[in-house]
Amino acid sequence: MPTASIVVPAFNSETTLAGTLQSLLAQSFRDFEILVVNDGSTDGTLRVAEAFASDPRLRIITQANRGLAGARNSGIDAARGRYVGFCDADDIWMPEKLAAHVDHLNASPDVGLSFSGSVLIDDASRPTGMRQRPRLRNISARTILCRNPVGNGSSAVMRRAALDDIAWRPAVERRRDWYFDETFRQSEDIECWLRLVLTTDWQVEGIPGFLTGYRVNPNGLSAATERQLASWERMISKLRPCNPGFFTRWEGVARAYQLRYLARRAISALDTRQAWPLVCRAMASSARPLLEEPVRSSVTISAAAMLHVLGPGPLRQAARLIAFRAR
Amino acid sequence: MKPLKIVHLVDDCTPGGVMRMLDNLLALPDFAGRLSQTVKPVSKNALGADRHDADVVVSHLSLRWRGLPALMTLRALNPTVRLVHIEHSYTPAFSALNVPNKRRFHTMLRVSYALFDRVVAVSNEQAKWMQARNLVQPEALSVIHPQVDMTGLADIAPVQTARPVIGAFGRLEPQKGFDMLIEAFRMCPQSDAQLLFFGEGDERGRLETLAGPDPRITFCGHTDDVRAAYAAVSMVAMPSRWEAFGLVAQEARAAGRPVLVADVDGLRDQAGNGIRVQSGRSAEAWAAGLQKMMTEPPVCETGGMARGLSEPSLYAARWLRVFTGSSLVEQPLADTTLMQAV
Repeated sequence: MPTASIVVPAFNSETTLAGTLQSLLAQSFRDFEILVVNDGSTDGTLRVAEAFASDPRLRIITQANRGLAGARNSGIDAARGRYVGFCDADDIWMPEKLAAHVDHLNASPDVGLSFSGSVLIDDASRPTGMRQRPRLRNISARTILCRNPVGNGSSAVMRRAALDDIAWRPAVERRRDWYFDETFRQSEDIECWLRLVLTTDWQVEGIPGFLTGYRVNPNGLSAATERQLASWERMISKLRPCNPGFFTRWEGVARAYQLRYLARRAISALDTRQAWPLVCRAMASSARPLLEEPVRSSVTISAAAMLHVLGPGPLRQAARLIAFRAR
Repeated sequence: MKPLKIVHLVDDCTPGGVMRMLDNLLALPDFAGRLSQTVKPVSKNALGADRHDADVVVSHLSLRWRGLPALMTLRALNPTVRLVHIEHSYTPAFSALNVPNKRRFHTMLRVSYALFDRVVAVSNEQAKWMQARNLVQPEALSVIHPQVDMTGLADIAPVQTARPVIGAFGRLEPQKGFDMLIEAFRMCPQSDAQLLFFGEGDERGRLETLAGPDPRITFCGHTDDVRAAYAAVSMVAMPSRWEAFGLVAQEARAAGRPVLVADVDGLRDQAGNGIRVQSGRSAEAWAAGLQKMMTEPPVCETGGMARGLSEPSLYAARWLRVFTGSSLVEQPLADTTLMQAV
């Protein structure tokens, strides 16, 4: 039995999968298996994965498309490791990532999910200079709901026992258990992390370092804003019965943070139409983000206001300047 | 042989699971002549920190940081007395929902449990949690499913009508998950179905608001006539958010009523023979589960032992081993009386 299993859900990712698998096979901690779940890809994903199959640590599971959550679930189902990590087929792991999480989980028997910060990478796998710098300790359900410190789907390494504690078998499923909720096409990560802390007493804790390379896709973001918000709201409705008091207290604040996040993405996409209304909705939901993170919130409000009043010109100019200085 | 002197410390004497279990324990015929048991009510933080004239002191207390000094005093003043703690309160789901700082909470439990010679978990799920979190030394841990007096339940007439009447028993508190049950029940289209609540609590106003004008939902208040209550229903729902054991499921089984329980804590121990576990906590999942209970209820074998009551003498023997500390009989971790294939 390998100590760790790494689940790689892959859907039409022929261009990025090789980079992902190279980064995993180069891990300094060697005792692991990789489960590539080819989730009904229609491109050359399978061919790319098979090129790595000479390494005995790699297994390929092919299934009809079930979505990200369904691919991860199939991977977890086949995983044999005591620890199970996730790396989406367009992200990469830094060489020391697995070693750091294995050490962390070995040393902390109460921790069910270990995560770390991430660097954002571009299409060519170069760091963009932006980072996800989450809070690492004292993570409560409130922290996860409002700030999702786990950050992205390639950051978490979980304890198998914790996964088993959140597994369930929906009536429609005949083959295996669900860990991630396959009815979600977005917000499936945070739904899983939040369910873990609301229904089990496993702790979520981060370790220092920026150990994941998370690829941001700059295209088509703002178009999906409403859809993303809708699935976030569905996640709230689904989990509310677990602890209604908790949601009464915090969901307004969490909604404000969620709307602020979407506003920030609209701003980076220079979306003049959406950014300002999103900021207004965020402020109407709760002013707490302004108190808790005054700098970030004011910058978001000002940028959205500027975009609203002056159009994308000045921001585009500023971005160009920053890019020039960074060069 | 002189009877073993046992003192039970209780910090919550309101009628409920703990007191009913204790009443049953005091009256077990197998203990006659072998144990002399007394009950001592104590205040929340003093926790009976006295010198006790007893061989065994049994704590039914809610452990907390503020009670720790008293607990240490209790240990120090009674160095030769066997101290036993029965964990009626804390479970993995309790911790998940109510404890913001888990590390601190686990530490409190570890320190408190270490003062006892034996810790008794009331369900296998609770015991598994205690072991997984290293809260108790494995050799100091026992599991005993509690029992209460259920005479009068076993001869209730079988369900007569085809009309589904769902019973919900327990205090009207967030722990019991009745808010979600009302929401789920209101999604069920069966116009002849009924939902009856037996119990009182602070949540009543909120639950009544949730029930709205639905004429199928009735709040019957607290009842002392448990027998009549079970006779009035055709099935029982336990959507609890946490539950150390869940005696209601045992009562319902004894009364020959099928039960739908939440997939949580001690309720998981009880699956099988008329008790069905509902996975998922959403109102939608429960609405589907309730409707399945109405159309195809789980088979509940009737009569005597088949109704799930474990042998009273076996139950008494388990307690005797805990009280005497005898290791003559190998004690398995799991209480297997109720363990069945799910």
